[in-house]
Amino acid sequence: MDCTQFRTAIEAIRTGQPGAAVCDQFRAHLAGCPNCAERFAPYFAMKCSDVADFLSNYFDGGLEAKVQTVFDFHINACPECRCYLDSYEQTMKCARDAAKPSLKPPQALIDAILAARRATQG
Amino acid sequence: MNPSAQHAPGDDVGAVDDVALLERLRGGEEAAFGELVEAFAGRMLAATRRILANDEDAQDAVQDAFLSAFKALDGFHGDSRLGTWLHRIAINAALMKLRSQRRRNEHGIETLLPQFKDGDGHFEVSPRRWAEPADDPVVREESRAVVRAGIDQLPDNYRIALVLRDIEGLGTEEVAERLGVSVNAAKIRVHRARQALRTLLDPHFGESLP
Repeated sequence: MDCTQFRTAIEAIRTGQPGAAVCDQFRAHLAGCPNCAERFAPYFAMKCSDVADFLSNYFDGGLEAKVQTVFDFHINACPECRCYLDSYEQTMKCARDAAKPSLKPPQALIDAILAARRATQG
Repeated sequence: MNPSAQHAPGDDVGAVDDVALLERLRGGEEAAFGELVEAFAGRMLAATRRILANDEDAQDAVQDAFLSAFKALDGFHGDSRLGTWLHRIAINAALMKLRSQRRRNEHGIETLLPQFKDGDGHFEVSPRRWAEPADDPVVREESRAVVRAGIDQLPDNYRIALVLRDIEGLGTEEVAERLGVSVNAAKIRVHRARQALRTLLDPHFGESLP
């Protein structure tokens, strides 16, 4: 990937999730080209560790617009963070889905509640 | 994707006519109290059991919650569904009971959080893609049991934060209030609890990247 192709890849990542091959070439060019790394530095302000820290705010819709742009760029360019984000979201869904909505209350409990109410009425 | 957009477990007892039942309760009709308890005790018990460690404590909390609710009936103006109101009271009763007990399992959570390399901030261990939830009801129920066991393994202070936020459907501010911590601390606690639960569930749901 040369610098022109790199700029094209930046656009592709900004607007979607290109395949793993493009992301690999993109990373390789970034590592080897100080000019592109400097010129497009704002896109790479976020590390995987930062993305993990921002996940909760991301799902709450609480990221500032500027942070959101860099976050989205990182997620689109980083398959590992995409996997982590997806599994984090699935964890939240699993927790909700696993909860039993109701448990059968023992009759003794119902009787005790009603008896206690009657007792408080004198 | 926002957990707070989900209905809380106490929200949807659709068969109960709140207005009519409230009127009968305020009139002191004995049968109405029986109907109220029959209609909502099961959901309240499920909620208190998620917070407390055993059935007996969970049942005590439900009883405490109903007695509090009976006393507060005149102050309930129907701003929320009756079920939602009772659900909140049940959670409060369970948290009060929990506070009065010696906490179990208050160890740290660090070993369950993702680790990152110094410098470039990449994952120490690449996260794996997770399988889609199975369609088979038997497999799904097995997965639910794995998730419940995972939640039970979390240290109490994190488990409660996750239960309140992601299962009981409380907003972050409400979670903070119930736990007596700042909103930021509550947010961090919920986030770490999710990360830790994700780590615990990874062996069950994770697939290797192609």
